[in-house]
Amino acid sequence: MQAPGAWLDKIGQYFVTSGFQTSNVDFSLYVKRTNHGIVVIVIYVDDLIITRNNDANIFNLNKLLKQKFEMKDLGELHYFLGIEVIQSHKEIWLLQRQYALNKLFEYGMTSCKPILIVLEQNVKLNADEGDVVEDTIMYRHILGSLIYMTIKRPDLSYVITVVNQFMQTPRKAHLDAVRCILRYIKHIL
Amino acid sequence: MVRIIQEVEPTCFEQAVINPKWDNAMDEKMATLDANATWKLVVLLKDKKAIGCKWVCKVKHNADGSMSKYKARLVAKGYAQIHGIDYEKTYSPVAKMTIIRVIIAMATTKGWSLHQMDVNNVFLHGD
Repeated sequence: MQAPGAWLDKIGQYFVTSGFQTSNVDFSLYVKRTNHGIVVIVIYVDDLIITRNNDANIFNLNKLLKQKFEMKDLGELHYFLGIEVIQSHKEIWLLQRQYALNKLFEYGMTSCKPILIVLEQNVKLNADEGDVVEDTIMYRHILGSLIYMTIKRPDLSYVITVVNQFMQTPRKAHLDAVRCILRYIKHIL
Repeated sequence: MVRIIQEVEPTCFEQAVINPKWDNAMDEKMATLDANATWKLVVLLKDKKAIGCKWVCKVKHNADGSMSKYKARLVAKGYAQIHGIDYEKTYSPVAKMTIIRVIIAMATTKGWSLHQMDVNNVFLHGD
């Protein structure tokens, strides 16, 4: 068996024997209901997010998990898969600021001029006009990170679907549109 | 658009071993592999092929972008295996983004707090 599967089997078995139920919706979601309350665990390979309605039972669970597996207790959730999480009594804030900054740096757009609009008005993007972009892998790479940024910014979704249509053979106009999106991201940071 | 590389990450053992920082990282990894009794040496069976391995070196960053550590990882060249012969099950516990969002939304409305735990050397678990 491959290592990731072996790991899931092991921790899954442990959760089931401790009274958790595997969710039918997602196999990496475990829920435990007792008279005292409810505990929910999400597994993302080696990261666990735990939430529950009763503060007391988390400490026992953390202790058990630390004993059974070599785990580090990172306390309150604050950074997960490139998403910053800020928690207060009333609200939970999600931010992808650092992720966006890293990506802008990676694509050499750190010092670009921010703009207020994502896409120019009345631009017709055509699949077979203009020069083909040399580094198509880079184009796809950027689109991948743009898609990831829609988690926090649903307003990017539409333009991203537009530039996504030219994944196969991106042309200069498409790359310009992508640059435009990156400059908009700099604006909303 | 140019990708700027902040710190050069070695691509093979020969490059890594000459830099004390990476050499150290590899020593650390070997120590955890030994401590977990990850492997045992055996005689290769007749007609069986051993798969190779490779060191992968990565600079790890903190949430604020500062450097946190030099991480070395020993990987098996799994691509040399053939599906159905060497392995059958491929599955990794990866939660859907929707699930993660639902959990966060639920925690917000109910006023629960979210906690995080992290497993050390996750792929050394198993039987």
